[in-house]
Amino acid sequence: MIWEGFLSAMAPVNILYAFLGTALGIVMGAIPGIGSSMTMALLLPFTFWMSPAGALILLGAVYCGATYGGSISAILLNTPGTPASAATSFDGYPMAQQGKGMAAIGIAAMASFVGGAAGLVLLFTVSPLLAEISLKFGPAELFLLTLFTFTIISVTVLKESVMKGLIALGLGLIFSGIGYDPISGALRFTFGLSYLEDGIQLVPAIIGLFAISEVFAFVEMGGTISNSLEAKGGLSDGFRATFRYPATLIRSTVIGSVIGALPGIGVSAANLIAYVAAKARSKHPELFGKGSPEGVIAPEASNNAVTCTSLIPTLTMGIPGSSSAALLMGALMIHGLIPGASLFTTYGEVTYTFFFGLALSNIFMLLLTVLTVRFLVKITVIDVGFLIPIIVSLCFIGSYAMRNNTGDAVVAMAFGVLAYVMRKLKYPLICLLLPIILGAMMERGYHQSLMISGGSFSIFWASPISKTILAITLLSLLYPLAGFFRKMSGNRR
Amino acid sequence: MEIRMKYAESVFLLFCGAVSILFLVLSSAYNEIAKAVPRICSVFVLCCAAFRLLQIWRGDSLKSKVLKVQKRALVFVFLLVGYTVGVYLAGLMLASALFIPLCMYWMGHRKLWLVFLITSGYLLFVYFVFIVGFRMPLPDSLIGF
Repeated sequence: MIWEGFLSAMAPVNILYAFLGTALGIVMGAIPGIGSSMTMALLLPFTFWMSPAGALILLGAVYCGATYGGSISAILLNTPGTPASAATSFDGYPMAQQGKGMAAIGIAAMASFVGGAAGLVLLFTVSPLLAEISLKFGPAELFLLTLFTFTIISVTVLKESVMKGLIALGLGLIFSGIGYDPISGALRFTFGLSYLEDGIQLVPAIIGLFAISEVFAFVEMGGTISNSLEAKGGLSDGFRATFRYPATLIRSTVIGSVIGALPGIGVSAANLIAYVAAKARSKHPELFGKGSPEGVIAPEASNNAVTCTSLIPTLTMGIPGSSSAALLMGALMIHGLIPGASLFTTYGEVTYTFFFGLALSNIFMLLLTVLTVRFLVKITVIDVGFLIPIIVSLCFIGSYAMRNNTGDAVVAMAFGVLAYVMRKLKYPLICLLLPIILGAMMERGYHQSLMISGGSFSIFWASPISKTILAITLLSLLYPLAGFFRKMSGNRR
Repeated sequence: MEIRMKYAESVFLLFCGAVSILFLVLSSAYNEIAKAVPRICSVFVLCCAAFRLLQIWRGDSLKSKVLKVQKRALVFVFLLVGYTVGVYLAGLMLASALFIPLCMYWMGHRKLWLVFLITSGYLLFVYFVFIVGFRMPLPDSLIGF
């Protein structure tokens, strides 16, 4: 069945779909706010007349291409095209400013390729096993996982000023509480505005935090993005640099693969978590934020691993791991394929054709990078005066388009001004963003756990998974504290 | 424009404190489940902001630091607001046709033919990719254009 799937994927029409999907995904992913799910939603009606395998390959290629495409604008303009590449801008953009934009794109492309390939291997081999593990994650485990994420960010990213990070984290949690309460359904903090009933939307928030705030920096800076008009390092340097950090590459791929397999967390959080983990384990954490290649490898390897493994719960149990995976599930069902065991038995050929199509998309991603990178990096030597109004307008379209709501564009602008102030005062934006992504899941997990246990907090250390996450959380808290006390005692002596 | 960092951060912290107090007060009207987490978060922000204020005013880490804000950035806030209102009133295409050349001119580009060329190119791109290609509804004006 796998061999038949391979042969089917190699049909010229399917290769063409994979190429077109990847190219379209890269272009749309690079436009802030458009991203994979919107492009897939727009393409879905066009796939009705295609074969099931062709439709899935086209949409899957868009999914992979857009996840990578978001990193191009994140690196060259510091405006992440998709939430999946928010962390890529932290180090990719400083590299572009130093004239190493081409190398940064090379790193992003190769790390995406490796992450995507590893995710695919997992998709082929351990789909059932990972699906079983993900089923063991109940509300208490998901709550603890989000708590762990917040803790690890507090002790790594915020080493410089823990208080600033904690304030941003708390502010993000407050914002995540706006709208319907996830358990009781009560309306909260809407100030009588019907727009706020659905809460703060992620895409406009990210556009505001990263893209609009960067536009403010452009306005103040003037000139060009790159300080150096000469390109330092080519694409091949980027490709090679990716493999100089095998531990970061493997760790980030594993993080992305596991997070992808867990329904609900998604690619938006995975890249940030992988970035934080890379910084925590790096030999040179001081270089993060200043153009460290590891800072590009980590988010890119993880986000492309997520794109593949998020299909595991989608295909095996019908539980989509992300909005794009949900759209793929919709495409499956439109073509008469029901998620579950039958996808690997009765319809195995279509499923494996789709998997090989994703592999093709990964290869095309590298190929397209090689072909276009020379033209893309030219953007860093264009005067920002030309770029500013165009970026603002694209941000407006991106934030509006998902729900056709002008309110989303207003939220993007408001978050942009807030982010500008926070950047000026050196408050970490990542800490404001992460609770907006995970806040609702944390709150839901907290209440559901207490409901299950009848109000007893013992549920949070009842299962082996809970105990493990709790132990790691406590260790991550104790480790910097031990260092702090060691430093204090050293100073006294 | 220069402001002492100490004062600038204090104003931001007061803003954070005010937001958390507002959410704390509002949450009292909700049921037990709906108010539990927002209350914890509001108190958390309030405590952290108070602690940070103490850090700022007792310590001397920010004593000599100055926050530089360019007037251009402040003007740009008004441009952004103008564009947002413009999109709402005149639709995205018309508002962009005004905003893009205006912004480029304001950023110092005086070659009007180039400004016009880039604006037209961008608008054509938006029209053909989003409106014709993807049939994506973009913000219309109040008069329906």
